[in-house]
Amino acid sequence: MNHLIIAPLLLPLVMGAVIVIGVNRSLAWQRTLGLLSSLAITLMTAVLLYQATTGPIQMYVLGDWSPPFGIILVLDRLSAMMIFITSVLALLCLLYAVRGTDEQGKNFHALFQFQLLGINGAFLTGDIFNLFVFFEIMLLSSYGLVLHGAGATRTRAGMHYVMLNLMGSSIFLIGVGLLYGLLGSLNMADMAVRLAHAPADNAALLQAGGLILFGVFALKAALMPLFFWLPNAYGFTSAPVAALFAVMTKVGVYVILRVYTLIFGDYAGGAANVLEPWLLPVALVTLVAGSIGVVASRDLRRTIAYMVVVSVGTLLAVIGTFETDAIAAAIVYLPHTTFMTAAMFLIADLIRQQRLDAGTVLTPDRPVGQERLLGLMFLGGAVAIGGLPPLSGFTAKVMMLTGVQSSSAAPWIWTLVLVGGLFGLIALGRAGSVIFWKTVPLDDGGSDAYSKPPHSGIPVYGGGYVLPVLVLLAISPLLVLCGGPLSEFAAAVAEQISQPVQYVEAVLGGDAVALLLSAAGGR
Amino acid sequence: MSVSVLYAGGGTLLFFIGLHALLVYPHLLRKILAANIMGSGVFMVFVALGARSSDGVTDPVPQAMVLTGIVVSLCFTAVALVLAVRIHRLTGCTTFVQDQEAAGD
Repeated sequence: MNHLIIAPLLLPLVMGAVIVIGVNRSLAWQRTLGLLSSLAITLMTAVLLYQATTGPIQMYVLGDWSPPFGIILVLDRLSAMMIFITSVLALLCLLYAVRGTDEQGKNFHALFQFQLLGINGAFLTGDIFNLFVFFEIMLLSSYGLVLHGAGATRTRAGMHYVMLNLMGSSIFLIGVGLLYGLLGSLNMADMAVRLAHAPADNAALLQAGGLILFGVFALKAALMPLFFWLPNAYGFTSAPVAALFAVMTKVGVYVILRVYTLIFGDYAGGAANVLEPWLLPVALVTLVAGSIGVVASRDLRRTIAYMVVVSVGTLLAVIGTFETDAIAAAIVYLPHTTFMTAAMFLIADLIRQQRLDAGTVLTPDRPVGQERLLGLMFLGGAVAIGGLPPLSGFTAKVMMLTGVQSSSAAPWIWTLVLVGGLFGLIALGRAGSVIFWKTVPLDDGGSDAYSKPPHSGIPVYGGGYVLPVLVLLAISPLLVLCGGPLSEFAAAVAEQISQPVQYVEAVLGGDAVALLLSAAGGR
Repeated sequence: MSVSVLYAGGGTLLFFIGLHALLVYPHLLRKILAANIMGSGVFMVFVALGARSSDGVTDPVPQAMVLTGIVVSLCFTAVALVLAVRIHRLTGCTTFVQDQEAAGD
């Protein structure tokens, strides 16, 4: 058994606990431990990604209780990719956070490690009740992080987030309970097999269970009409946390992809493909609503928060066709959009700190301190996120649009994705021109046109400060340069996802596969 | 069988009483209590699900899930209460009423 699979869960758990115990130690000590842990997780997930790419699906059985009785972790290509993205992003966010964000309150580093535990666990688990538990770990620590350095607005936005997710958890439990009551198993692979043999009179209840779960996943992924918590929560929290949360909505996307291809896939009898009529329309409506939010926001942070909604809508619209090519294209888009929205959150924070009066609100103010540096970074991020050549947004979008070509909904997807991209460009172009060009001019003494005295205390960023942002931005051209291997990898991921038989075989063995297929043949 | 129906029905009733309170009462403490009552309703449904086998033996897995759920809801309630206290300390009020004004500045 490959013990490396559980390491991305154990390490943040242990590190988080150690940091909690030493909470009164110096910040430097906490920072060192947090960064070391994140770096180690990144290296381990890179190895896991390599193993998953070249090898078969691996399973880790906790306590050697063989499935379906024990708890298992499953590493396939999709989950390996997701934990790798998460850990790279977390390392960069943490590098940014140690430049000051973590001084605003205690326990930042411990919460950050627990957050990683929750996210990695949700990606790796092969058991639907453990998925619930890891969701809760992820949420509990995210509450702490959302409120970190709290003000009144941040606290109130956080309260909304807590209440909504509290309801979401109850509903998740209802869905899981319903499915367990009907199927008698919580192991996802075992559920798939049992669902194939479920009696026909339970079909309606099983479908209801599947769709109740979709409601919860839609809340996590921020789909229409359940995304209204997102712009507040992401817009008001501290920048590195918002940047890390760029991957949290992708947890919802991942879970939708996993549950509705594995459990409610082609073999699921009466409940087969239960989500297919719903996902695409809901995702397209989300895309439209997000695009409207993007152009309507008067604050750069909120614009970017709405871009997260747009990216989720785009991803799920493409996945909603449930075609292998389209899923492969979405897999290429996913890392791009995660890293670029994270980069934009950090750039917005750099801009905010140098605009003492206006912050990220889009009104004319004095020019930022380092116009050329921030302007170029903003331009880079905007080009990538808006989907202009030569950066990764363009290639990913082209792949997605060609991927959905054979679907009957292709005209809708084409139109809305392209219009959404145009809206994003308009909003970012407007934001950039207000922040960098429409400035209140300064005279030689540093006073502005209203003869207010010059500001003091505008921070000047050194190399270390902007390094995480530059690395995040550099991922975009990297994704283009590695386009060939990346699209091959994405095709391999999509192939593995659209054949749940491989997953079932890795977890339960050949007999279960025969059982699964016999049900399919009988129909 | 009738006992489990009683549990499931009672749980459903509790869930909707909680949902009603959550939507109707503006006070944060009441909202937190309401969410807790909703959670208890779900747990009761789970206990009812334990009677799924026909030979009268109770399935232990739903009970294990309820225990986990209780731990989780305890943590949640604690976090929510701390938040409510913090909101009261920062804004002096115990509701969401002033949201619009806060978003405006």
